[in-house]
Amino acid sequence: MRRASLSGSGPPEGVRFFDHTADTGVEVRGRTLEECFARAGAALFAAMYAVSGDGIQPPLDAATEHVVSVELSADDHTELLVTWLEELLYRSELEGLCFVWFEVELEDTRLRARAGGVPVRMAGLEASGPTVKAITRHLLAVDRTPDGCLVRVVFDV
Amino acid sequence: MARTTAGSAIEAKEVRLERDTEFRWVIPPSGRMRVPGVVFASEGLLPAIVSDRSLEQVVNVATLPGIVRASFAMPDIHWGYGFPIGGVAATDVEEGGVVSPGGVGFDISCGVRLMVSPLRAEEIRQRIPRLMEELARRVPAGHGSGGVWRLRSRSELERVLKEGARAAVEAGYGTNQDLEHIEDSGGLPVQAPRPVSERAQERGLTQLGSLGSGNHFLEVQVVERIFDAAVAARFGLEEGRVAVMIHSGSRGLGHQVCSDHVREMLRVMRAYAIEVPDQQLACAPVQSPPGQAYMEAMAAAANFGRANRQVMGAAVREAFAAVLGEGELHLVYDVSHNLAKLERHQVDGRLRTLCVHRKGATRALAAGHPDLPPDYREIGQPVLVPGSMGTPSYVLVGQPGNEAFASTCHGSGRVMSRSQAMKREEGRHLAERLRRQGIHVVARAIRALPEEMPEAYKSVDEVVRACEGAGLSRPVARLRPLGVLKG
Repeated sequence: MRRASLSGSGPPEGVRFFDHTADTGVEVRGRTLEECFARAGAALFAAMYAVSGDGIQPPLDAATEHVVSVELSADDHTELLVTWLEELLYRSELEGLCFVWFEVELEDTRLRARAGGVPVRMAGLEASGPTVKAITRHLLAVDRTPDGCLVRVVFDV
Repeated sequence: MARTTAGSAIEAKEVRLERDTEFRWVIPPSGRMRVPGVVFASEGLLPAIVSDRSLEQVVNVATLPGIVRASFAMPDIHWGYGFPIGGVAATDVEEGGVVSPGGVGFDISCGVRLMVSPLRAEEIRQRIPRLMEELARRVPAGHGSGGVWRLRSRSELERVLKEGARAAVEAGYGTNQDLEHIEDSGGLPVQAPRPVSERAQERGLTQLGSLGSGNHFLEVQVVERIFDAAVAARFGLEEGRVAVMIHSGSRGLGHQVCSDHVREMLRVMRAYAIEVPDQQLACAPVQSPPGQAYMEAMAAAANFGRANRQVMGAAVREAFAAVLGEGELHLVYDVSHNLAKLERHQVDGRLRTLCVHRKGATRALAAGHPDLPPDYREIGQPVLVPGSMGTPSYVLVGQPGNEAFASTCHGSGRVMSRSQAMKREEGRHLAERLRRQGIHVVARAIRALPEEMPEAYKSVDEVVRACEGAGLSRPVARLRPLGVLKG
């Protein structure tokens, strides 16, 4: 199981946003796929709420009241990544939450995860970045690298 | 002109662009392209166009099965996902032509509505801040749930998905007269919205009559210049009059429909022997079960989008009545700029049924077209082109002989990424700068305001000029913002 969370300043660990004219692109590196998937979750909410660094104030790990559990499977890892991020987006919209920590366990192409959130209307969270509408498949990649894994995804904002 | 870059997967590939006329550029077919690419642009717009990966996307679209004539790009083209934003492609339905949800986009039937009031700007200038606060109170904006019309049941939602803006009018939002000035009279035909998933419907239930976020907005504007007095008069536009422009779409319901059907098409594409250069271009023949399922779901989502803008339009009238004592706002037109439609067009001397994808492009029917409302039939369809925040918007009219299946631009087109824009100026400075220009901005997130700064976009004047030069549309009026409610 790997865990990732949003940081109070700058992008989450292993996450790099890249420029896309209309949307938000992100590259996530990690030692394992589990770590990449957890960090990709953090990247999604960093894009919306903390991309310029001062969106969310710590202590983020204190989000224990609103925890969702997710179990998903897909045909391959890229499909699993899209399904995982879509699930987070859907849950956040439905329950009005900004997820701030993510725990991911992968078994082949099955994912079990937990994510902890804070209500968006609290703590001025609305006063941040653009809303991600959807997870696109443009430039989508889940790759092994010499030192671990790389995930690339573009969010439609 | 050519660009050469190579290397990692997120860098651009080389695309060859040849000048044809002053406003028309061609990408000759190569590789797996079935038709050429055609880009409408002035020389001034070109540096921005070649600076991102949009031309590569024009090339990718040219590989779609059944595509006819060309993969077109409007002058406001920029890098999107799958299709470029500003992309137009038509496929021949009877020749195995495909429909691609990526050629419509996640925000199905995202579009623009323009309403005009008999009031003059000088009469209400002092009351603009109060009016904007009232509009912000009545029209929910931003992420998540909350809408003007709180649907009570699935059957109420089903009516919206089947009937579009008509369902909103029947529930008391607006008038029957409004419907005549909405594309497709407010709704596309939908038999049963079954291909709209449970999850999509769940998202739709709570968001009907809400603006959304990003580049969506509601503006109070003044008609500042008329280019064609006769046509402007028919549209109800007169210099100095106050107008309201709404830019919004089908919210989470539309996003979910797109996600669901892209996934399904990726799963079944191989059975139709289709390969695409970008997963986001996933597609299926229009005449196939997955193609038909998407067309039905897309029409239902488009109906939700039209109802969404109709409901917000009614809320705007109430806000005008509450603050100004007068709520009489006449609907000029409501048109989508993210949609795929079955249309009849003459191609190579034969009238064919085409699936015309417009992704960040607006339908622009010329005078005489039978789909126009009776009062516009002799003049052509109004095209609504929002500028960026703080810059003018345009009303154009369709022109005969438009080779891009009667399509034109949809806005000014981004040139700067959101993160670049965010680094340029602080939100409160931008709000102050706009206030000094006489534009009152209300935003749920002042910090995020610079994402939509005027400098992040191409010049709308230049885009409109290129559209005219290329014979796509002709300017009728220009409107200047007085107040902005940013989504």
